[in-house]
Amino acid sequence: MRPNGQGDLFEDFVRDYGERAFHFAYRLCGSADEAKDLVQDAYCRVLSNWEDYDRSRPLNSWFFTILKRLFLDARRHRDACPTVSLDEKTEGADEPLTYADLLPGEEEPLLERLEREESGDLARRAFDRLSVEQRAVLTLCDVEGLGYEAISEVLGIPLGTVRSRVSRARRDLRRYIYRMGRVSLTPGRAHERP
Amino acid sequence: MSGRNGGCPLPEAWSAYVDRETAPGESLALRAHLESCPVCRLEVRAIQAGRKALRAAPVPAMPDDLRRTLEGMAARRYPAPPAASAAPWGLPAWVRFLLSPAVLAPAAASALLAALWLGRREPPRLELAAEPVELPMELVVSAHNRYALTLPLAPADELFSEPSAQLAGGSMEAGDVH
Repeated sequence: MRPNGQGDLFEDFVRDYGERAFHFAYRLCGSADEAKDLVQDAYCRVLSNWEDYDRSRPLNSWFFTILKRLFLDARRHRDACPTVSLDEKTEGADEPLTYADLLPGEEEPLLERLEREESGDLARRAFDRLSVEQRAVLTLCDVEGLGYEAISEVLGIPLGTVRSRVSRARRDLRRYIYRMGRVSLTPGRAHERP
Repeated sequence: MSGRNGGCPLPEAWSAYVDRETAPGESLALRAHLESCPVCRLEVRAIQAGRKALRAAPVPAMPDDLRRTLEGMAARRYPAPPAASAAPWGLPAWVRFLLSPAVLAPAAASALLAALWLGRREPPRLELAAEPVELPMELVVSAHNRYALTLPLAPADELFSEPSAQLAGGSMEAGDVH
């Protein structure tokens, strides 16, 4: 027996939201395998806590909260047992954004390219260089289209922090796009990795 | 909120402006500034272009095995009724509902409650019972409450929190039993 149609709601959630959940997880992890495990764990958690779900809250916000917590737990566990990846960021990759990076005269050519042509791959690689917190906030804001208040709930941070973090993440993303673009967005090398 | 170019707002303000997350007064001021400042117009364009590029960034499709696993989880939680349980002659949905445990169990409980109550008002009937059956009052009230919750808009005062007090006070009538 499905109490009050709850089974249907869960099935709808799996069917309609599975793909988005996987994409969100992929953007957080940067790895399809890790994202798969994460989504599976998150759905297990949702299922076991289904009766506690507060129906007045959007289901996707609740789900994102669970998924983000699981992701951070996994990261903490991984950090406790560190391994060295060949793709690890090199020292100095996160230096602060310089004013020169933001000068309109310098930025406009890349901006025009971003607006004009396929820049998804470049954005993807630049996005991977952001911190976990930045990836989470940008995915929720720019991809999932959540408002700042919902993001604040999902990430458990104050509204003002959401605002500043979104802005900072966008500027860092732009900086990485700009730097990679100088290397890879030359004619004939559009998809070359820096 | 003024920033780098003298009176220009900080990038954070433009970021919130693009997201429509600024207060009404702040939005008006930003819009007015935007009309006269090419540098900030460029900032807004850059934010919009970055967002567009991020949305266009390729992500892999959801793996089929993950999809099957999730569908299996949903199916295991609420398994579909076995084919044999579906009456071949096709009983109407309302008949199947009436025969379902959700309806039969509360009905049986209320019938028991009514029988006990009527039996209490007619002592000779009680004497007919060879071995009087004693049911804990909590069990009877719990059955009543479960039944009451199946009714649409069941008022809270039908859920007896102090059954013994209400019974002792004589406030419960036969008509109260549903």
